[in-house]
Amino acid sequence: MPKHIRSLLAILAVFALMFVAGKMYFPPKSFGVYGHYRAASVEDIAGAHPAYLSPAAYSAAYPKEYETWSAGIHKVVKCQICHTIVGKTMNMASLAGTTALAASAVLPAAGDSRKLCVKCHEKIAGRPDYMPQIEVESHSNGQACTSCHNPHSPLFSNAGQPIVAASGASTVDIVAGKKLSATCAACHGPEGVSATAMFPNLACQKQPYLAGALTDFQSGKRVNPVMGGVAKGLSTADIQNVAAYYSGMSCK
Amino acid sequence: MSESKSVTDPAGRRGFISLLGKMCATTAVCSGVGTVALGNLAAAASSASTAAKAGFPAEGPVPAYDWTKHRWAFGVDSTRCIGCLRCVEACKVENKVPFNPQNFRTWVERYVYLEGEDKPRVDTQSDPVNIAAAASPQDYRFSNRYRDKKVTKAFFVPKLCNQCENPPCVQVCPVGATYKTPDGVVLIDEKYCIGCRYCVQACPYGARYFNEETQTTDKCTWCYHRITKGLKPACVEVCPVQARVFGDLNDPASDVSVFIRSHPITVLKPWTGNGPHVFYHGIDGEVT
Repeated sequence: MPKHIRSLLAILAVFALMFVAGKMYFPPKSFGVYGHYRAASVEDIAGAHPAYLSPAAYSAAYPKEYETWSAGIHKVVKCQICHTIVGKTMNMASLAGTTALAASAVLPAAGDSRKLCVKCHEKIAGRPDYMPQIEVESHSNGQACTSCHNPHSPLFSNAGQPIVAASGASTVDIVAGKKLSATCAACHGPEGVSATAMFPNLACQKQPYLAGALTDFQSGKRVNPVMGGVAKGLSTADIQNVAAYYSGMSCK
Repeated sequence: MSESKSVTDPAGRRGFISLLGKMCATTAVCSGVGTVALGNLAAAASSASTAAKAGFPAEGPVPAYDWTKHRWAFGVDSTRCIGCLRCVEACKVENKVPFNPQNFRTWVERYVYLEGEDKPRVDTQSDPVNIAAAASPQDYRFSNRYRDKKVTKAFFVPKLCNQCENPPCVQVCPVGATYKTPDGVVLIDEKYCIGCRYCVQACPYGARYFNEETQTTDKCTWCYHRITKGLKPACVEVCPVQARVFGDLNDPASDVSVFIRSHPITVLKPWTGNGPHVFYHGIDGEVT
């Protein structure tokens, strides 16, 4: 073999060795365990702490707001949709784990309702008709939304009065209705949606309809051994309250 | 696993060439080339997904989570979306996306048909008019810009990474910094990415962006840190109208399985063969 071929082979061998050594030394340890990537990166990504939490995490810190909110139409609008400060990751410092959060739950104040509420409720092109929408100028006259509406349950005022009063009832207490509803939940379901065809759904029914049905059961105009017994124990105010509670529930 | 995948993967080089061969043969025999070739593609895609699954060891890298048991998917109900952009804001907070009006892991498009026009007008929260309508540059809101116009049809379309079955972004990565997990999510290794942005170019949906703060590419992971803990992605969690649906395709009772069964659905750019896994309801052909 000529000399120049031998030296060429030697140089090639050195480069091959360097390549093999580099390939052994440089790639991270977990590279190629599952495929052509660093397996440890999956754990890195999956190990991040969640910032957005279920509203249940805040129920202990804000029991009153939680009760009002969970009884109202805004039940689908979770805490952190409004109670968030743009650009700041809330609760991240106190977030040791999702379970540890409930005790230290701190929600910052929601922003100006005139800027916040319109993000969902301003009437704009593209927003579907099922969504309650307002012409901002003519509806609010410059007032903050929260001066009339309870943001946790916006069909009601901050005192719990229905914004649009039902006929024949001047004051309705939705929270009291929720307390009464414990009896109803056994048959009609905890969410007002019953598990069997035997019992009708109560969630989403109109308040006058529910109140009317209960009044009829009470007077004996409508006859049902179970409902007749239940309705006998209710006052006129109770009927309005429980009807208001179920009419405000989501029928999901 | 890589051996069996490269044979059947229609997006792989070998798969493509064999498909080309089959197409040539078919052309010679019958006239319905397109239909048969598409049939081959679909068959190849389904066999590729099963082959990929079988090769993975049962216990994955995430503690207390079996990544071979799930196949995540996403549903978007455009008829319910109200364009409130709470999902966009939640995503930024949850995933530490830079708070500017240009970079998004998920975004919302608005399609508006005005009277007398046959092409929709499309805007997103990044549109200058919409930025001006928001309270600050770190805030997102759709403006009432069509107030004085006669609108015949309009709807919102939330967009995010489609977590493709055959992701073209993974194919082009020169260093193995992006990859598809067996539960169907395409992830980016932030520590390994060299910031070449080849994947940003490769994505047909524009789902990837270059993060100037970290100097790496970033995109939606369907909140992998949440779904591996049994939570829903942040955008699904905050959506007040259930326009976003998430779940496991392997579970027939999951939200997304029920959504797919109970709605007419479509995917974006199905002809690319990427196998996108975000299923849309209520969108027009103009949406791609």
